[in-house]
Amino acid sequence: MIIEGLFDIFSGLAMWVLELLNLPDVPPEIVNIMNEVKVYLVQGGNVVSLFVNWPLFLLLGVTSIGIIIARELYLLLMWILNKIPFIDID
Amino acid sequence: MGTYIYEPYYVPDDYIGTWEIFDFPELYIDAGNSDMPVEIQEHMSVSKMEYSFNYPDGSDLIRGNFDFGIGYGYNHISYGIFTIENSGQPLFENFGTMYLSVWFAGYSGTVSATYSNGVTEHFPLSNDNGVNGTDNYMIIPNNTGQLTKIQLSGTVCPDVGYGTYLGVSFKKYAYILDEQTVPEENHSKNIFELLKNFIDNFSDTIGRALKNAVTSAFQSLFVPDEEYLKSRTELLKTQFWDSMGLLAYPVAFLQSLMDDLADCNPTNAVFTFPCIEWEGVVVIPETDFDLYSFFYGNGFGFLIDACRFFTSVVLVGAFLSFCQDTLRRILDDN
Repeated sequence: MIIEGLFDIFSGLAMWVLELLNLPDVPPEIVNIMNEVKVYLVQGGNVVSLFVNWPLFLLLGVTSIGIIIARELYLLLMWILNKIPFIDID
Repeated sequence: MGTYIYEPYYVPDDYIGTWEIFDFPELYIDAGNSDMPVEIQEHMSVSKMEYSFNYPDGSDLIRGNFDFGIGYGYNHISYGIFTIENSGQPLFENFGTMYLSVWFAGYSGTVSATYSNGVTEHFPLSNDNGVNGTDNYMIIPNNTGQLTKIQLSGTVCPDVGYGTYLGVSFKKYAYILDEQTVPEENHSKNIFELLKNFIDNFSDTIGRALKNAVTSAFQSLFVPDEEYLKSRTELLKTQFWDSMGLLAYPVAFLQSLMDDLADCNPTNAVFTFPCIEWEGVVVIPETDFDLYSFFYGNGFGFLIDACRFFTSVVLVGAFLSFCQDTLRRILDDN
């Protein structure tokens, strides 16, 4: 009951802010162009997948991105911890 | 209390239980007509003859399967007699209702049940629909004597091909217990003991109910309902994407693009050249060029396979190099 009440207050505030924000949609012309671009990109992907082992490519790509993100997160975390004096981490 | 169950069947494999092969010394099968008694003719062959009977557990189940293969091209069996007998001894300990399954087309005949007192009862069978299938018959004897002989006789005139057979299956009741007999409690307890038990039970019940009520009230105070959280989160998420509009589009586009790229397939490697028009006249129509069919259809598939192998080696090498480089940078940072 208490948690639900707090959540109601928080979500009500968030909804109010979001309703105020209410940004316009992307113009349909741009959406059409982007869809057309996407069709060509996917077509290119299909052609590339003829010469490249696509599942292996996806696996290695996702793993590489994960490693990069993990490293950046680690650096960010250490940067934050270094700002706290009494923890004293080098 | 118990329940009698029955399940007429032909294929006995579904029966789970302990069966013992029982060798009936005087069990015989007589198939033929007046001109061709007893012997199996050249156009007929006994493909399978099994008999199972179990006494050890006391359940008087009896089972018989007689499969007759009919020679190719022969389409008429004029008469058949199938007999189950055991030296004039009772076939079942207690003969009640019996179920008989006959698997055949165009069969008509009679089951004759002979009892120890010499009385014979006849139960007509007929399956003249011309379609192979199992027909089940319920045989309820009127005689109180012990059953000593079952004889199935009749005419089968099928227009059948090779492999059709007459299947006969007898089954008696299977008796199972569906309720456990609970011994009655001793009612001779004195009144004080009964009163004490009642009070103990009552206090236990009240205590348990109170404990449950307090626990659930405490829980509802702090732990939100799962459905409530789920619905509110969904609502918030929907409102977020609706309100972000312009800003949300790149994320949605990238997500959709990634999904589509993940589904890329070499069999869809098709170049599509757009249509070229000049003042409404089609100069060059839209043309597709299927690379996959081109390579694999003209015997150049090995080139693609070799190329894919080479690129795989390069990819793995590049990945390992990247990992090494990342590790070195982390170690250098420290």
